[in-house]
Amino acid sequence: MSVEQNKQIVRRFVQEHLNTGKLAEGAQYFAPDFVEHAAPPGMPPGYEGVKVFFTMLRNAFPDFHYELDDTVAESDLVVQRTTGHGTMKGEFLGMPPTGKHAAWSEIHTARLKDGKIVEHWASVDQLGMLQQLGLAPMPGGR
Amino acid sequence: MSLEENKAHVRRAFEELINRQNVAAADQFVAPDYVGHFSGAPEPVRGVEAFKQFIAMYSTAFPDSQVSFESVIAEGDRVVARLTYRGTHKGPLMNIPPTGKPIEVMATNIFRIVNGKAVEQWAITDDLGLMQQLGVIPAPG
Repeated sequence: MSVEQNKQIVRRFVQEHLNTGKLAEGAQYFAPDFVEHAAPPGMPPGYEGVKVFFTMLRNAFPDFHYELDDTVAESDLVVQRTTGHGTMKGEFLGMPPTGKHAAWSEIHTARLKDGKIVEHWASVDQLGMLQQLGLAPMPGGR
Repeated sequence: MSLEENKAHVRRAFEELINRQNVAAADQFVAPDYVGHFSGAPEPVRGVEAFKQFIAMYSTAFPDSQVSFESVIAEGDRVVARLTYRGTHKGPLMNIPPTGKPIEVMATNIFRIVNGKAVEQWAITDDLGLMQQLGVIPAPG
């Protein structure tokens, strides 16, 4: 698989599955031994954990979607910089809904092998997201 | 500049500015019209002096901080460095007094490199994990 094909696989997964909620069908892009390094504690391993997490996220933020800001790829790695958008209408990871909208930055790294995603890491501005939702103190505040 | 040269440039920048705490060397790595988009910074960091002040804030708070690289890739004018910061909270961080706690924080950085210098940077650091490790924000569960 070429770098361009790898980029397309990851882009389609985000646009056609994470952004639409068609999570069961998204499994086609993942290897059976896929390892998620970015799951919160308590998620099942593999793609099942991705499905559970994004189902929870989409239930809490019904308008959730990623905007794709940048893609960088080399060899077997594809990096995507995204902006997540969502309005908190339901409970999420034990936090009560605030009704507020947030837009937050993320950078994802996926490793692919034979056209399937085998590993995933993410840096997510969770603090910025929680601050916008009114669930964490602002910088400098205590 | 080749992709390999751009990657080497980014590695040297972290080694010099973070691991050796040589903030004065920032001029070698960052262009005069540099813009940095950092999680945890409310506004973009513009220009070399503002960049120096931003990293000096962290080197004051974590004077022994060390970066290790998890992966570094490049394509076109971009370089992506996924890394781990380790250090000890020995100085004030914003208005958080030193706690003496060890920290280990993941981050991913994307750089746009023009003529051998960074003109733009997008950095997402696990600021929530950092605040939890410092005990400023309660850990989940």
